[in-house]
Amino acid sequence: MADLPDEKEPLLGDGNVQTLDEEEELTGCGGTLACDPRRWLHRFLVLILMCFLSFGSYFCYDNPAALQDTMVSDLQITTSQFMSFYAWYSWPNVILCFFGGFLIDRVFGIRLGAIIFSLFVTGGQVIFALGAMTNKFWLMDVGRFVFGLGGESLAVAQNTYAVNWFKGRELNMVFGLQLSFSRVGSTVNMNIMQPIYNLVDSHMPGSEGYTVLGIVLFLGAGTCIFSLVCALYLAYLDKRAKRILKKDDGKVGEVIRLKDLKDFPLTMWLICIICVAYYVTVFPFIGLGLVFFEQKFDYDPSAANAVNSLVYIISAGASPLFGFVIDKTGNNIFWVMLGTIVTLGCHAMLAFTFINPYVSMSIMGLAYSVLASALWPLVALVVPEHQLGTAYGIMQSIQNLGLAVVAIVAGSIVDAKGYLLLEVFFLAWLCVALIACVLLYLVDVSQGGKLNMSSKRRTLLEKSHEKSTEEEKKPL
Amino acid sequence: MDTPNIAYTVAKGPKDSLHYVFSSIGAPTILVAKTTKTNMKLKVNWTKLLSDNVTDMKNSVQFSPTPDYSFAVVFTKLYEYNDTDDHANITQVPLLDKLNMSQWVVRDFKNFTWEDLSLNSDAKQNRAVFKTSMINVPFKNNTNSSVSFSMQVFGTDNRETIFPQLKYTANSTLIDLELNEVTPSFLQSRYAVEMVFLSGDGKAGIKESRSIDDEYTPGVFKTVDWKMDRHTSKQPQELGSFVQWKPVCYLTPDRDRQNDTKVKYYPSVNTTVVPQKSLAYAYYGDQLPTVVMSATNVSFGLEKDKFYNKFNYTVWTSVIGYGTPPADEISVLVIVVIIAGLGTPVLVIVVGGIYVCVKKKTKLKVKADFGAESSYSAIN
Repeated sequence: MADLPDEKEPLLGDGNVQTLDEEEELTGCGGTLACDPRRWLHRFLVLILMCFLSFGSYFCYDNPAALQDTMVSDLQITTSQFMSFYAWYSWPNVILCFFGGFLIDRVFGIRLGAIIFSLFVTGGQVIFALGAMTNKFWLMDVGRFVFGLGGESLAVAQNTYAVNWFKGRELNMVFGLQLSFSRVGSTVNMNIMQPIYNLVDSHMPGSEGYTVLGIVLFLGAGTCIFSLVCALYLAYLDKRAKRILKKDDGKVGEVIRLKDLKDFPLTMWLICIICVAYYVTVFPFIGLGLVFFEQKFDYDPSAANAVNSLVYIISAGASPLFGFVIDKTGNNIFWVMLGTIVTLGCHAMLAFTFINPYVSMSIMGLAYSVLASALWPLVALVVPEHQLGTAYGIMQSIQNLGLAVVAIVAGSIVDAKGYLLLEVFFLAWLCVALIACVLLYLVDVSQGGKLNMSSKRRTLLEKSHEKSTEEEKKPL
Repeated sequence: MDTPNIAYTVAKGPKDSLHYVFSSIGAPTILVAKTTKTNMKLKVNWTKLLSDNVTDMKNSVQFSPTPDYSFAVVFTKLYEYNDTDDHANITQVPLLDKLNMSQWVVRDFKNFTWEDLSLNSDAKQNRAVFKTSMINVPFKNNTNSSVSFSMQVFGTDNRETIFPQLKYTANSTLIDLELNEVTPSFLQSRYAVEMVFLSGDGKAGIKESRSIDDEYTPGVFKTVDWKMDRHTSKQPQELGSFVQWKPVCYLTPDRDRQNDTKVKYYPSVNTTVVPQKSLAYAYYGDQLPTVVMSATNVSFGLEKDKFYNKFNYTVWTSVIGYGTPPADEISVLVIVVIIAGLGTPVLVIVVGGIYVCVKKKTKLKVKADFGAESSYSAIN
């Protein structure tokens, strides 16, 4: 006979408190500062593990960008084929971003989920390296596909861990730190892969270029294995903390219901357009940046890679800063517009002038941070809380679709018509984003202007709204 | 078997005409003469031209009546060097290596033997191809290997459809130099050519210009112009001549971008060394002491491109002509996209701004009319 839930709950007080069991005593090493899940040092160590969870994934994501010139030459592929490495990463995520939450909450659980996604990341990179070593282009595409299956979902798992361990207290800072770590991973990749390639090449004279490439990519897989180890250790610590603190498993908590889509207002779709139109001018550009800087500005590969990594390293520092500032000031749409216009200026500088690319890429890094910090919070303002999961899901799905398609198109443009036309192509996309921005502002103004409010007015409005709902609750 | 080849074309304009003569007799030479006289003819004394005694060649080729202006470009030497340090720079390669083995193989083009011009040329496309013949001293060659020069003339201004898509005019000719399956002497071979630019009246210099536009040669933003400007200060300034190229050459016959490599040029020097035996010598003959001569080297390759040995093929295109070198212009497509792309948001912003102002004015007006906020608070 099934237990009726009512019988067991105490009549008074909060039903969730289990007063029956003793709190577990931690003895020996387990009770020290570093190992006690209640103490700050342990949580700090867990934070570090969490930050490294997707380090390998971000490191390896941009391996192609860092090695573009050698890849194209060793594998004898066109630029368009090269960009398929990025397209195949994005394709699975067009659909998977809807299921990441479901997989973590209902199928695998957070611990196993993180491990499984980490395994996909590692496996994908290994297949990628194997494909390079055997000079099989199709195998490399398969590797990137498998890598993609794990990559984005791993980020979702990482966020879920963060919410579970740091909710309420330091969550924003933790999110910022995780993203910064990941960006640092991308930057490190850009700056060390070519020297590693040269090192391996010098020790293997007379060997085929693609063999050297394969070995170098296997070394990259080492970072994925490191992240996998972090996932395993994190799972162990999380399970232990769950037992000690008697806390619930981390849940993504966002339900995806595709029928919510019909409820989305126009502003939501405009935000999606801005998102995809903007991001396709950043990531595919970085993918193609190495050879662009080598050929237009006569940079050698290491200088070209350093310039290419500027967007990442600057956003690693600037994103948390701008996030803080934008939270304080509000006026999100103006910030989004600013980010778009400034990026437009940067691409124009790169296209039509020979101004030092350090300038344009640094500014682009700042503009990217501004836009990312201002755009994603807008979603929470236009869509009710219970539909947020679907909203973020559709936004990421469209973003990945755009990235996959534009990656290939961008590669073809470079092969046929060169880099000036590529930049003009990106400028056109930024104009689309800008138009969507302006339309968003106009629609918002016509609906009362709550998206672009300064945060002062927004808190006042929330307070008066709370007050009026409280008043409604009072008995007459 | 060495066929003496001469290809002769005349480009007739409304006021003047250009006579192009390309020959592989001796060092391959292109000779161009401009005249306003419609009856100018090329006269060749074959006995003297083909005589074993080189000095007999002098003045064996003539234009009559004399042209207003003439110039010639001679390909004198083919260099092959052992690039052990992988710098792709001919000035950094010593003559001998540490074991006193020569790192250079220098071949004079005048010693090559050439096939019959008509075997390889395409008259419909106005293309003359000068190809070395199989039995060729001193290559160790296989049956396919050859060095060839191709000259193509045009009646209109346009652009070639294959890379590097150089622009040509009615006043210029496209010259392709192709090194096809030439058996390299070293494991890390690279090639270079020496060229001499001659004119009865001029001063020469090489200039490299940079452009934002790489539409026609993706990834290549530079153009190199070796110009022979006229010395005289007549007004209006008379037109000189030029050799133009983009610093790119291709390592496969398909000319794919993934197998392109760099073409380096080195500072030109004025020279008085006469390129015997060649069509230039045959034409300029005794004038040679007064003729202006500028020489330079052009090398093919870039570090880490795995040398000539990777594909055993290189092709390089240049444009040689009279007047001002063609300049690339940004195509209409780019301009249209920029105007449409940047113009539309500006338009939207302007229209939107007007809309917002109008709306704010009507809202104020409503407020003034009713004297209160349009939203009302809950009844307490």
